[in-house]
Amino acid sequence: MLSEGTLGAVWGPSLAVLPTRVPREPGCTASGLGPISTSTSILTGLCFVRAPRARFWFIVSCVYVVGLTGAFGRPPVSGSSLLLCGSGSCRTVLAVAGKDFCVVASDTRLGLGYSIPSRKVSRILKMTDKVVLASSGMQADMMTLHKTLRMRLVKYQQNHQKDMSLTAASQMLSNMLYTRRFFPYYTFNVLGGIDEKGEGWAYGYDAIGSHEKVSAVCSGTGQTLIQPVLDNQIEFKQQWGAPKVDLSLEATVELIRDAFTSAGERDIYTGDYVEICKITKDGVEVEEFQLKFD
Amino acid sequence: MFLTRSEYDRGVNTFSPEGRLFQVEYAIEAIKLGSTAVGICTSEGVILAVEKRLTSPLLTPSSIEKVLEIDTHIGAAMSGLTADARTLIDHGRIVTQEHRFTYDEPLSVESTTQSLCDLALRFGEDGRDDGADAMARPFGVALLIAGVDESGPALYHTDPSGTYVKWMAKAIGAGSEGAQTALQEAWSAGMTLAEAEGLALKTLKAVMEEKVSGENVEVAAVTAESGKFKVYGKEQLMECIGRL
Repeated sequence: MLSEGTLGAVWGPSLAVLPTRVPREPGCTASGLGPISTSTSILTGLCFVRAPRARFWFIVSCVYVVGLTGAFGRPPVSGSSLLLCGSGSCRTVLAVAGKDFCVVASDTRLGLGYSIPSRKVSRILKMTDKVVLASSGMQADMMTLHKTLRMRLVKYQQNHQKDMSLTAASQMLSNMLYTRRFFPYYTFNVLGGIDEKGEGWAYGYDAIGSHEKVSAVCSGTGQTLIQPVLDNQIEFKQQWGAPKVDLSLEATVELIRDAFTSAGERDIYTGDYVEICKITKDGVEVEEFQLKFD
Repeated sequence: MFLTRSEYDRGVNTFSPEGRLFQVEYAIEAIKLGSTAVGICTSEGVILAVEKRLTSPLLTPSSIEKVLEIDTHIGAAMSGLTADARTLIDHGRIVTQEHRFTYDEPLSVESTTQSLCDLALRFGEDGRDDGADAMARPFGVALLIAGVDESGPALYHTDPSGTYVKWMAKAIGAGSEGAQTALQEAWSAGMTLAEAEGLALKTLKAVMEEKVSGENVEVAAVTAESGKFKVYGKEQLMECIGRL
């Protein structure tokens, strides 16, 4: 699966190429992708743009580009992850499944470079009474994805007179992400819930819909800090000979609190609060837990 | 009903002053000319049985197919213009496969029926943006849709008006009136699938002109146990007829 890091690397070169296409499409205002070499594109652009109408649109697009560059200027992490943090928020989401429950959690910090525009933004979508989604990645893409998902869930409910199952939701999300294969939603999702058999499961996704059914998964900026802990504590990786025991709901929640507290110590994009959704056969219960405010 | 016939029976999307759509009513009449089909629903599964009219001894019986699979868990029996049924069933096959693609689960029997009825109601429209062709008239066919889903076995009946109704036992086609009365008398809630199989053939036998043989009837079943729809093969069919 592609991780946030590798996708950023894949996007890097193509972003650098994009601005040279701007002059050939002067009517296209969506050239906001090109802040990397704005000056080059303006110069080459003026040589191409002669018709007054086209020139108008070109200026509009230039203003748009300059605006974006001004607003989000120096990419805080690296040039290639401009889209990642350019307009808000990369952070930590996770899902841990137990025998008959699942816990989905996310911190609520919205990070932008060295600033924190908001300390309390939810990235969790309760899809049904048995399915919960948490998305890390870009805030605007997440909002659009969640909005589209909400619409699809209502339509499904009305067409089939039942709530979408965990498996149905997992497949639908994958398809929705893959339909944007060449301009993906910049979101890294984890889905958790209870399936038709009453078993808890978690699903981890990359940005274009590859997914895996697992018992524990973490995505976002805290992924590298938390995933190894989950592998060790939930899946008993590297614990040779240790008996594999199923954690109780309470123990799982405790582990998640510790994991987020630890990630918050080292990852500047993880902090403020953690929303923990406990999914059992009785429905979804949300609890909140405070992290450092630094 | 034909007394009030006037110029209102020409357009498919024009109501008569009495509030009727004659073309739809005529389409429903067309089904009464079709061969008889019977469907019986039990807690163990659903049985479909149809009569095949072999108009000539030179005709190859296996080339007449009146029971078709829509998806592995759903099948349909038809009566009326069978060519129209193929359009409907093709549509059903696409819809069920699309649902599997999108949601990784089988489509419920009711939703499948609903999508077929949506198509049945699309007559008189212009073509649609999605490339679906325009239809000049209603479909002249009725379907008995049998399937199993998470809420158990189900039998639905659809007609050219795009209406669908769930039945425990239903007969359509030329012999439907007599067959429906027979079903009403013999059907019981605790029926087994084997009993339903016998009743379906017995009912069909009573309304058919020819003697029932392995050539002129088709039987299919969908069982709750396997969740699969299956048209009976020659051997299985002969066994059933033998038990009559």
